[in-house]
Amino acid sequence: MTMYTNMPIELVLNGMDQPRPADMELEIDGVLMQVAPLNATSGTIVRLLRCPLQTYLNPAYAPGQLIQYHPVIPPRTNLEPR
Amino acid sequence: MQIMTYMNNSGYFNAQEPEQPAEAPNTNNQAPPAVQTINQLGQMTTPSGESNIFCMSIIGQIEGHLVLPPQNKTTKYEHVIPQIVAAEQSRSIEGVLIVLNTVGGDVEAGLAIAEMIASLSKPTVTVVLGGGHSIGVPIAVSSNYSIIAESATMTIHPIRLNGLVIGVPQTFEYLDKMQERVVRFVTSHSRIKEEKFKELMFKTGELNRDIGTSVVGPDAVKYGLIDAIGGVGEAIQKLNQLIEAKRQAMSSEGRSPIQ
Repeated sequence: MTMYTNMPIELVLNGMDQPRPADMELEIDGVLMQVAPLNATSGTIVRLLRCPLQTYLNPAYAPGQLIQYHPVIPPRTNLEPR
Repeated sequence: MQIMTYMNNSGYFNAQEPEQPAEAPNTNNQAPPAVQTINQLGQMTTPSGESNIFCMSIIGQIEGHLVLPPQNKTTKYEHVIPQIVAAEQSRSIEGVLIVLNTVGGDVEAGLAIAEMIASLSKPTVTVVLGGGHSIGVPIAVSSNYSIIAESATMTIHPIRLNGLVIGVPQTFEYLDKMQERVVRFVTSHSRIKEEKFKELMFKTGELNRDIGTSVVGPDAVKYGLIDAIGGVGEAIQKLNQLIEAKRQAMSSEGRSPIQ
Protein backbone atom coordinates (compact mmCIF):
# COMPACT_ATOMS: atom_id res chain seq x y z
CA MET A 1 0.00 0.00 0.00
CA THR A 2 1.39 3.35 -1.03
CA MET A 3 -0.12 6.60 0.17
CA TYR A 4 -0.06 9.54 -2.22
CA THR A 5 -1.33 12.44 -0.19
CA ASN A 6 -0.29 15.98 0.58
CA MET A 7 -1.09 15.51 4.25
CA PRO A 8 1.83 14.56 6.52
CA ILE A 9 1.87 10.77 6.67
CA GLU A 10 2.47 10.80 10.42
CA LEU A 11 -0.80 12.73 10.85
CA VAL A 12 -2.72 10.35 8.59
CA LEU A 13 -1.46 7.23 10.32
CA ASN A 14 -1.50 8.62 13.85
CA GLY A 15 -3.38 6.20 16.09
CA MET A 16 -2.94 3.17 13.87
CA ASP A 17 -1.57 1.24 16.85
CA GLN A 18 -4.51 2.15 19.10
CA PRO A 19 -7.07 -0.59 19.73
CA ARG A 20 -10.43 0.05 18.14
CA PRO A 21 -13.83 -1.27 19.22
CA ALA A 22 -14.75 -4.42 17.36
CA ASP A 23 -17.24 -3.97 14.53
CA MET A 24 -20.24 -6.20 14.16
CA GLU A 25 -22.22 -7.55 11.26
CA LEU A 26 -25.92 -6.82 10.96
CA GLU A 27 -28.45 -7.72 8.34
CA ILE A 28 -31.13 -5.09 7.77
CA ASP A 29 -33.72 -5.50 5.00
CA GLY A 30 -31.57 -8.01 3.18
CA VAL A 31 -28.44 -5.84 3.41
CA LEU A 32 -25.57 -7.39 5.31
CA MET A 33 -23.40 -4.60 6.68
CA GLN A 34 -20.49 -4.02 8.98
CA VAL A 35 -21.47 -1.62 11.79
CA ALA A 36 -19.26 0.20 14.28
CA PRO A 37 -21.17 0.41 17.58
CA LEU A 38 -21.49 3.90 19.11
CA ASN A 39 -23.53 2.97 22.16
CA ALA A 40 -26.09 0.38 23.26
CA THR A 41 -28.69 1.37 20.68
CA SER A 42 -26.86 2.90 17.74
CA GLY A 43 -23.91 2.49 15.45
CA THR A 44 -22.58 3.73 12.15
CA ILE A 45 -22.29 1.84 8.89
CA VAL A 46 -18.69 0.94 8.10
CA ARG A 47 -19.31 -0.87 4.82
CA LEU A 48 -21.88 -2.95 3.03
CA LEU A 49 -20.90 -6.60 2.80
CA ARG A 50 -23.70 -8.14 0.77
CA CYS A 51 -26.57 -6.31 -0.87
CA PRO A 52 -28.33 -5.67 -4.17
CA LEU A 53 -26.25 -3.42 -6.44
CA GLN A 54 -28.75 -0.54 -6.39
CA THR A 55 -28.39 -0.29 -2.59
CA TYR A 56 -25.05 1.43 -3.18
CA LEU A 57 -26.92 4.36 -4.76
CA ASN A 58 -29.09 4.81 -1.66
CA PRO A 59 -27.53 7.50 0.59
CA ALA A 60 -29.19 5.92 3.64
CA TYR A 61 -26.78 2.99 3.28
CA ALA A 62 -23.61 5.07 2.77
CA PRO A 63 -20.68 4.51 5.15
CA GLY A 64 -20.99 6.78 8.18
CA GLN A 65 -24.81 6.68 8.27
CA LEU A 66 -26.39 6.11 11.66
CA ILE A 67 -28.10 2.81 12.39
CA GLN A 68 -30.40 2.37 15.36
CA TYR A 69 -31.14 -0.94 16.95
CA HIS A 70 -33.66 -1.67 19.62
CA PRO A 71 -33.49 -4.34 22.31
CA VAL A 72 -36.33 -6.85 22.23
CA ILE A 73 -37.27 -9.61 24.57
CA PRO A 74 -36.55 -12.89 22.81
CA PRO A 75 -39.45 -15.26 22.31
CA ARG A 76 -39.89 -17.25 25.48
CA THR A 77 -39.84 -20.95 25.13
CA ASN A 78 -39.21 -22.90 28.28
CA LEU A 79 -39.39 -19.83 30.56
CA GLU A 80 -43.10 -19.19 30.05
CA PRO A 81 -45.21 -19.48 33.20
CA ARG A 82 -47.28 -22.61 33.28
CA MET B 1 -58.61 16.58 9.75
CA GLN B 2 -55.20 17.53 8.53
CA ILE B 3 -52.13 17.48 10.74
CA MET B 4 -49.60 20.13 9.81
CA THR B 5 -46.18 20.69 11.21
CA TYR B 6 -44.80 24.16 11.04
CA MET B 7 -42.37 26.37 12.81
CA ASN B 8 -42.80 29.73 14.47
CA ASN B 9 -40.43 31.88 16.52
CA SER B 10 -40.59 29.65 19.56
CA GLY B 11 -39.89 26.36 17.85
CA TYR B 12 -41.86 23.54 16.27
CA PHE B 13 -45.53 22.79 16.67
CA ASN B 14 -47.78 19.99 15.71
CA ALA B 15 -51.08 21.64 15.21
CA GLN B 16 -54.31 20.08 14.17
CA GLU B 17 -55.53 22.40 11.51
CA PRO B 18 -59.18 22.80 10.69
CA GLU B 19 -60.36 21.87 7.21
CA GLN B 20 -60.25 25.54 6.18
CA PRO B 21 -57.25 27.12 7.89
CA ALA B 22 -57.91 30.78 8.62
CA GLU B 23 -54.35 31.70 7.81
CA ALA B 24 -51.63 29.78 6.04
CA PRO B 25 -48.68 29.16 8.39
CA ASN B 26 -46.24 30.54 5.85
CA THR B 27 -45.77 30.92 2.16
CA ASN B 28 -44.23 27.50 1.72
CA ASN B 29 -46.31 26.73 -1.33
CA GLN B 30 -44.15 29.03 -3.40
CA ALA B 31 -40.83 27.93 -1.88
CA PRO B 32 -38.68 25.29 -3.55
CA PRO B 33 -39.09 21.76 -2.15
CA ALA B 34 -35.76 21.88 -0.30
CA VAL B 35 -36.72 25.12 1.49
CA GLN B 36 -40.14 23.66 2.32
CA THR B 37 -38.46 20.69 3.96
CA ILE B 38 -36.32 22.97 6.12
CA ASN B 39 -39.29 25.16 7.04
CA GLN B 40 -41.76 22.41 7.72
CA LEU B 41 -39.65 19.65 9.18
CA GLY B 42 -36.55 21.48 10.36
CA GLN B 43 -34.48 19.01 8.39
CA MET B 44 -31.70 19.68 5.96
CA THR B 45 -32.25 16.47 4.03
CA THR B 46 -33.63 17.40 0.68
CA PRO B 47 -36.42 15.28 -0.74
CA SER B 48 -35.13 12.65 -3.10
CA GLY B 49 -36.65 13.69 -6.37
CA GLU B 50 -36.18 11.66 -9.50
CA SER B 51 -32.99 12.84 -11.14
CA ASN B 52 -31.20 11.50 -14.16
CA ILE B 53 -27.86 12.64 -12.68
CA PHE B 54 -26.04 10.71 -10.01
CA CYS B 55 -23.78 12.83 -7.80
CA MET B 56 -20.80 11.17 -6.21
CA SER B 57 -18.61 13.03 -3.74
CA ILE B 58 -15.01 12.07 -3.13
CA ILE B 59 -13.80 13.74 0.05
CA GLY B 60 -10.95 13.49 2.52
CA GLN B 61 -8.53 10.61 2.24
CA ILE B 62 -9.18 7.93 -0.34
CA GLU B 63 -9.09 4.82 1.79
CA GLY B 64 -7.81 1.69 0.13
CA HIS B 65 -6.41 -1.51 1.49
CA LEU B 66 -5.72 -0.06 4.93
CA VAL B 67 -8.45 1.16 7.30
CA LEU B 68 -7.25 4.58 8.40
CA PRO B 69 -7.51 5.83 12.00
CA PRO B 70 -10.78 7.62 12.86
CA GLN B 71 -9.38 11.18 12.71
CA ASN B 72 -9.34 10.85 8.90
CA LYS B 73 -12.39 11.65 6.85
CA THR B 74 -12.36 9.00 4.21
CA THR B 75 -13.89 7.93 0.94
CA LYS B 76 -13.98 4.16 0.88
CA TYR B 77 -13.20 2.65 -2.49
CA GLU B 78 -15.13 -0.52 -1.73
CA HIS B 79 -18.26 1.67 -1.64
CA VAL B 80 -17.42 3.99 -4.55
CA ILE B 81 -16.60 1.22 -7.02
CA PRO B 82 -19.97 -0.58 -6.70
CA GLN B 83 -21.63 2.87 -6.84
CA ILE B 84 -20.03 3.45 -10.25
CA VAL B 85 -21.11 -0.02 -11.39
CA ALA B 86 -24.67 0.66 -10.15
CA ALA B 87 -24.73 4.06 -11.92
CA GLU B 88 -23.57 2.44 -15.16
CA GLN B 89 -26.18 -0.27 -14.89
CA SER B 90 -29.07 1.96 -13.73
CA ARG B 91 -31.75 2.73 -16.30
CA SER B 92 -32.71 6.07 -14.78
CA ILE B 93 -29.18 7.53 -14.46
CA GLU B 94 -27.97 9.26 -17.61
CA GLY B 95 -24.96 11.15 -16.28
CA VAL B 96 -22.58 11.16 -13.32
CA LEU B 97 -21.33 14.26 -11.52
CA ILE B 98 -18.23 13.73 -9.39
CA VAL B 99 -17.49 16.36 -6.77
CA LEU B 100 -13.94 16.29 -5.47
CA ASN B 101 -12.41 17.77 -2.36
CA THR B 102 -9.69 15.32 -1.49
CA VAL B 103 -6.20 15.32 -0.04
CA GLY B 104 -5.23 12.15 -1.88
CA GLY B 105 -4.79 8.72 -0.41
CA ASP B 106 -4.08 5.17 -1.53
CA VAL B 107 -2.54 5.03 -5.02
CA GLU B 108 -4.20 1.75 -5.95
CA ALA B 109 -7.65 2.81 -4.72
CA GLY B 110 -7.40 6.24 -6.34
CA LEU B 111 -6.31 4.86 -9.69
CA ALA B 112 -9.03 2.19 -9.49
CA ILE B 113 -11.69 4.86 -9.01
CA ALA B 114 -10.18 7.00 -11.81
CA GLU B 115 -10.15 4.05 -14.22
CA MET B 116 -13.74 3.15 -13.33
CA ILE B 117 -14.93 6.73 -13.98
CA ALA B 118 -12.98 6.87 -17.24
CA SER B 119 -14.55 3.63 -18.44
CA LEU B 120 -18.15 4.69 -17.74
CA SER B 121 -20.24 4.75 -20.91
CA LYS B 122 -22.45 7.53 -19.48
CA PRO B 123 -21.35 11.19 -19.58
CA THR B 124 -19.25 12.25 -16.61
CA VAL B 125 -18.22 15.65 -15.29
CA THR B 126 -15.83 16.26 -12.37
CA VAL B 127 -15.79 19.41 -10.27
CA VAL B 128 -12.79 20.16 -8.08
CA LEU B 129 -13.83 22.30 -5.13
CA GLY B 130 -11.33 23.28 -2.47
CA GLY B 131 -8.66 20.80 -3.44
CA GLY B 132 -7.98 17.78 -5.56
CA HIS B 133 -4.50 16.87 -4.43
CA SER B 134 -2.09 14.03 -5.14
CA ILE B 135 -4.11 10.95 -6.17
CA GLY B 136 -7.11 13.28 -6.56
CA VAL B 137 -5.46 14.60 -9.76
CA PRO B 138 -6.02 11.40 -11.83
CA ILE B 139 -9.61 11.24 -10.53
CA ALA B 140 -10.18 14.89 -11.49
CA VAL B 141 -9.06 14.29 -15.08
CA SER B 142 -10.80 10.92 -15.50
CA SER B 143 -14.16 12.37 -16.59
CA ASN B 144 -15.36 13.49 -20.01
CA TYR B 145 -15.17 17.11 -18.86
CA SER B 146 -13.40 18.53 -15.82
CA ILE B 147 -14.12 21.79 -14.02
CA ILE B 148 -12.20 23.47 -11.22
CA ALA B 149 -13.34 26.24 -8.90
CA GLU B 150 -11.26 29.39 -9.26
CA SER B 151 -9.92 29.14 -5.72
CA ALA B 152 -9.39 25.37 -5.75
CA THR B 153 -5.89 23.92 -5.87
CA MET B 154 -4.27 20.71 -6.98
CA THR B 155 -0.97 19.69 -5.43
CA ILE B 156 1.22 17.73 -7.80
CA HIS B 157 4.17 16.13 -6.06
CA PRO B 158 6.25 12.98 -6.20
CA ILE B 159 5.10 9.84 -4.39
CA ARG B 160 7.00 9.71 -1.14
CA LEU B 161 8.32 6.66 0.56
CA ASN B 162 6.09 5.35 3.33
CA GLY B 163 6.61 1.66 3.09
CA LEU B 164 9.22 -0.99 3.52
CA VAL B 165 12.68 -0.41 2.07
CA ILE B 166 14.00 -3.68 0.69
CA GLY B 167 16.92 -2.16 -1.15
CA VAL B 168 17.51 1.43 -2.14
CA PRO B 169 17.72 1.00 -5.95
CA GLN B 170 14.77 -1.44 -5.95
CA THR B 171 12.65 0.86 -3.79
CA PHE B 172 13.51 3.82 -5.99
CA GLU B 173 12.56 1.86 -9.07
CA TYR B 174 9.27 0.77 -7.46
CA LEU B 175 8.33 4.36 -6.54
CA ASP B 176 9.30 5.46 -10.03
CA LYS B 177 6.92 2.88 -11.51
CA MET B 178 4.09 4.02 -9.21
CA GLN B 179 4.69 7.61 -10.31
CA GLU B 180 4.76 6.55 -13.93
CA ARG B 181 1.28 5.01 -13.55
CA VAL B 182 -0.08 8.33 -12.27
CA VAL B 183 1.74 10.37 -14.93
CA ARG B 184 0.54 8.10 -17.74
CA PHE B 185 -3.09 8.21 -16.58
CA VAL B 186 -3.13 11.99 -16.16
CA THR B 187 -1.43 12.72 -19.49
CA SER B 188 -3.68 10.32 -21.39
CA HIS B 189 -6.88 11.75 -19.89
CA SER B 190 -6.09 15.47 -20.09
CA ARG B 191 -4.39 17.91 -22.44
CA ILE B 192 -1.31 18.36 -20.25
CA LYS B 193 1.97 17.19 -21.75
CA GLU B 194 4.07 14.62 -19.93
CA GLU B 195 7.04 16.99 -19.72
CA LYS B 196 4.91 19.71 -18.16
CA PHE B 197 3.30 17.36 -15.65
CA LYS B 198 6.68 15.96 -14.61
CA GLU B 199 8.08 19.47 -14.40
CA LEU B 200 5.29 20.41 -11.96
CA MET B 201 5.73 17.17 -10.06
CA PHE B 202 9.45 17.60 -9.48
CA LYS B 203 9.59 21.38 -9.29
CA THR B 204 11.50 22.50 -6.25
CA GLY B 205 11.19 26.23 -6.89
CA GLU B 206 7.63 26.53 -5.64
CA LEU B 207 8.10 24.81 -2.35
CA ASN B 208 4.82 23.34 -1.18
CA ARG B 209 5.39 21.59 2.14
CA ASP B 210 8.57 19.92 0.91
CA ILE B 211 8.46 19.41 -2.85
CA GLY B 212 5.97 19.72 -5.65
CA THR B 213 3.70 22.38 -7.07
CA SER B 214 0.40 23.78 -5.93
CA VAL B 215 -1.58 24.45 -9.10
CA VAL B 216 -4.42 26.93 -8.55
CA GLY B 217 -7.63 26.79 -10.66
CA PRO B 218 -6.71 29.11 -13.58
CA ASP B 219 -3.22 27.55 -13.84
CA ALA B 220 -4.72 24.04 -13.97
CA VAL B 221 -6.75 25.17 -17.00
CA LYS B 222 -3.74 26.95 -18.53
CA TYR B 223 -1.60 23.80 -18.28
CA GLY B 224 -4.38 21.73 -19.87
CA LEU B 225 -4.89 19.61 -16.77
CA ILE B 226 -8.51 20.72 -16.32
CA ASP B 227 -10.95 21.82 -19.03
CA ALA B 228 -12.57 24.90 -17.48
CA ILE B 229 -13.04 27.15 -14.47
CA GLY B 230 -16.44 27.00 -12.86
CA GLY B 231 -18.64 25.49 -10.23
CA VAL B 232 -21.67 23.30 -9.84
CA GLY B 233 -23.83 25.40 -12.19
CA GLU B 234 -21.39 25.03 -15.08
CA ALA B 235 -20.92 21.34 -14.26
CA ILE B 236 -24.64 20.53 -14.40
CA GLN B 237 -25.02 22.60 -17.56
CA LYS B 238 -22.15 20.74 -19.24
CA LEU B 239 -23.43 17.37 -18.04
CA ASN B 240 -26.89 18.11 -19.45
CA GLN B 241 -25.26 19.10 -22.76
CA LEU B 242 -23.30 15.82 -22.84
CA ILE B 243 -26.43 13.83 -21.96
CA GLU B 244 -28.38 15.58 -24.73
CA ALA B 245 -25.57 14.94 -27.23
CA LYS B 246 -25.55 11.27 -26.27
CA ARG B 247 -29.33 11.04 -26.59
CA GLN B 248 -29.17 12.53 -30.06
CA ALA B 249 -26.30 10.27 -31.10
CA MET B 250 -28.16 7.21 -29.91
CA SER B 251 -31.50 8.20 -31.42
CA SER B 252 -29.78 8.80 -34.77
CA GLU B 253 -28.47 5.24 -34.49
CA GLY B 254 -32.00 4.09 -33.71
CA ARG B 255 -31.20 3.01 -30.17
CA SER B 256 -32.98 3.92 -26.96
CA PRO B 257 -31.09 6.65 -25.03
CA ILE B 258 -31.60 4.82 -21.75
CA GLN B 259 -30.48 1.24 -21.97
